[in-house]
Amino acid sequence: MTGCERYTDLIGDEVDGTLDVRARPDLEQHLAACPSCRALLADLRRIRAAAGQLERLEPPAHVWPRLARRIEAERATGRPGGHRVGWLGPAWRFGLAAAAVVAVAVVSGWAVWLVDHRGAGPAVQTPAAVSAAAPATAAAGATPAAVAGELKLAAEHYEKAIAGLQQIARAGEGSLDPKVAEALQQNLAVIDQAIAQSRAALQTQPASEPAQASLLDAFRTKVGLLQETIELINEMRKGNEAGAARIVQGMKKS
Amino acid sequence: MTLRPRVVCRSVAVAAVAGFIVMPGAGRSGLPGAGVVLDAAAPVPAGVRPQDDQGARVTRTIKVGPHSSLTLSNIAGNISVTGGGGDAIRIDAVKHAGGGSAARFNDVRVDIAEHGNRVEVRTLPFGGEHSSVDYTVTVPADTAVYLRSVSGNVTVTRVQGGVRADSVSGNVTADATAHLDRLRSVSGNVDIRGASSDTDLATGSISGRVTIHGLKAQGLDVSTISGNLTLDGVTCDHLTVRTVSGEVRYAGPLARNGRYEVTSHSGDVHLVLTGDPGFELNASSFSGDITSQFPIAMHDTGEDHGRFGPLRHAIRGTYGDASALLTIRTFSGNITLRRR
Repeated sequence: MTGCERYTDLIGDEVDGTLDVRARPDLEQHLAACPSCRALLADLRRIRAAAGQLERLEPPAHVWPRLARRIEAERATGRPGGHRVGWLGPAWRFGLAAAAVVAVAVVSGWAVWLVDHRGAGPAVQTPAAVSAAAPATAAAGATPAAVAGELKLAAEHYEKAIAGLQQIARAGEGSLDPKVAEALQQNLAVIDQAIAQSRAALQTQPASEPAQASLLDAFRTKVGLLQETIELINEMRKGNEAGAARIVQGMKKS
Repeated sequence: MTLRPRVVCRSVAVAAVAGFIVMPGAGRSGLPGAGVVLDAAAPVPAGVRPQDDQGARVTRTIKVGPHSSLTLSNIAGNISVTGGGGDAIRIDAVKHAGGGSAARFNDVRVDIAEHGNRVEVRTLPFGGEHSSVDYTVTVPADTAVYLRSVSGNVTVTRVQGGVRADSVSGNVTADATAHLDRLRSVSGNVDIRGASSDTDLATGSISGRVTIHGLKAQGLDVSTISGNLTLDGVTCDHLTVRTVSGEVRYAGPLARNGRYEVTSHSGDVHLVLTGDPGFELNASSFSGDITSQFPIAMHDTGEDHGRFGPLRHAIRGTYGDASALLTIRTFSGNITLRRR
């Protein structure tokens, strides 16, 4: 295995179907000699296939202007706006990323829309805006029923995105150290409990702002943690840190 | 012992290096992207007797110019980096190989590469279990360090250059560092003491706790899922704290025109504010209690004052000149504001 790093982009292009024909012989020659890169290619194809099964989500037309501004702002600042426990750096090179990010961007867009309409978005508010939030919301015509309906729709989209991400995460879970995988599972359970509590609260008080906000937060956090899990799996595989998880496990036994 | 210098690509797992020894100053290949590994003919470096749980030590001193950088990626084992004087990066790597055979040391390989003023150190993937490498590194104070470990603690002390440190299952600690950029762990704890950052610092853990004692930063973004968060003596213009079940404790001043946002689902939020902060408060909880020692001039409060329905517990109002914006939201966690 030699010079793998310079083939990483080519493998990504191959998975994306955009590989330059002039680069193909070189890549094929390398793949023939490098089991690690062959495994990477196979993994990425499988992940891409799984990601491709995610349903394409279409928010209402009125969401797009806000979503576009949000994405543009995040691109400009390089800082995602959602709750994302990002620590591993840019591992979203491949098709996996594209599918997952589209799903997350859409649901994030829903959250932005809801937050904007409800005036509950502290990150984008000035003190003056906080005071003016209520009349602004009323002017926007967001009735309680409309907000509840939009919340339900947002929750459905989150759930679909989460289901897709969970499928991807489960497919690669074996790459993680069992202890780390267990910690991640435990924390997913913590989030699931938060989702369940928020849902139960909304059953008794459908118009409760804190309960609505908590439900959206919990969804967003779960998406972030699943993203994180997938990035971690990718990182472990990308470096072909074969045996790293085994070693970690072995050390703990010793 | 015969030493055979060999140039290898920095990013590739080096094929079968039988033993490993590095000569101080021998690394300058002058080739971009290349590192030098010196193979030893004997399987174990001279002067090192492989024994159970005793490491084979590899040391290397690399002279660097101002504002150098160090990237260190480890799989299993601790990393400790300390800033100091001088103009060299000194790497002391101690291999630990269970099993006691000399061959076990050969399973553990370290790649040290120089790229101009940049030094990259990696523990190469290895198949043996019970093996690890502990790194103790000293760097010139202005060196930027980027440290990663899968399993093992990462500690950074007195480094004045930029600092990024990540671990999957180990603890991450920064002590007396001047330009923190990012510290994260998945299941380990994060500790920051007497540090500063001239930009926005992002830190957190998923299940570990985050503890900060003394930090000056432009912005601070801290998050956990279940870990507790303690922020003591933090000075920043904008703060974002998010957790699901962790308890949040903040003690410190509020900056004029600062923005502070704390979100927790079930964890309690305790704020102990120093000085005489003026703030606009927007605090809400579904079932948690909200108490404040500050006399808040209310916009609205309590039952049945939500825009769309009953808020069981909410305070919206101002204190003092209302120059800072304080937004706290929980689902079931209690919210407490106190003076120090």
